[in-house]
Amino acid sequence: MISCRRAAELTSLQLDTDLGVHQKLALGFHRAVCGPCRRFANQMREVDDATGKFLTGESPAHDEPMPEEMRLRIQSMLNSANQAK
Amino acid sequence: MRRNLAPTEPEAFEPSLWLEQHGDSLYRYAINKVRRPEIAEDLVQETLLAAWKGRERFHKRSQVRTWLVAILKRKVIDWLRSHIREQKHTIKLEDSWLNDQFTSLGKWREKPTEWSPQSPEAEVHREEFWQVLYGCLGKLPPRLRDVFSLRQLDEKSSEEVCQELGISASNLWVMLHRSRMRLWRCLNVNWYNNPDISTEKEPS
Repeated sequence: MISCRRAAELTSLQLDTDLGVHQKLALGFHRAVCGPCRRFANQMREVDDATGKFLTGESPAHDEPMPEEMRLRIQSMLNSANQAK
Repeated sequence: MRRNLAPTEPEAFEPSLWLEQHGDSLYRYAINKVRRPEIAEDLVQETLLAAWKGRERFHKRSQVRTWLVAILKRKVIDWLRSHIREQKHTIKLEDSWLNDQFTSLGKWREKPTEWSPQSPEAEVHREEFWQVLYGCLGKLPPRLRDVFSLRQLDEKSSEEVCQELGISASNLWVMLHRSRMRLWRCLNVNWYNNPDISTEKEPS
């Protein structure tokens, strides 16, 4: 039987691609008898979903506004571009 | 007070106005992905310029912010891709952090335990959860974080991503696995706060 370490690798791989028949069987058999790895698979899916939502959304975590100096620099660049058109 | 102009009004196409109305959102979007303020600044600036140049293609039924974010997203993906390519180096075969998670026989050193019902989906916890997740992403080694962010953002297949980055599929998967394991462990400790050891029997 594959180890928990290998099962964790396959669990992660499954989030990116379809597993081969042997990999699927090995993982399925391992999970059937390993509670921690079944739990890990569910938690890994949660982590992947959450990071997917976080990274693809307008991400509310970093709630600091744009620094004022940065805004002024961008404004100044836009003004230059406007004059150059 | 900031004005909310309809995109059909001529002033709505002024990049300065976009900066005023959407600058904070664009900056937050970029900094969460690239985590380097100077790069986020460049990307926001390029986005406003690109939007200005391409304003003819703006669909009047769309929201200006949605349109700007879509442009910025492409710029973030392009930056991540070229940065990863530039930083290309061989991936370490050994990952001592990952090795420490398992015994020499490949069993969990600390088995995954139940996560408490403090679901990140619940409104009351969501914002706090994002903060914790942002912190966990920040703890990833930069290269792993960049690859992981690109994989999440880019809707292309793994094969296409590998081609663009010039890396093998197995290298990509190793990096994604290392990232996920670290994120999982970090959330386990910092969000679910559940260090107790499971008493379930290990498979033989």
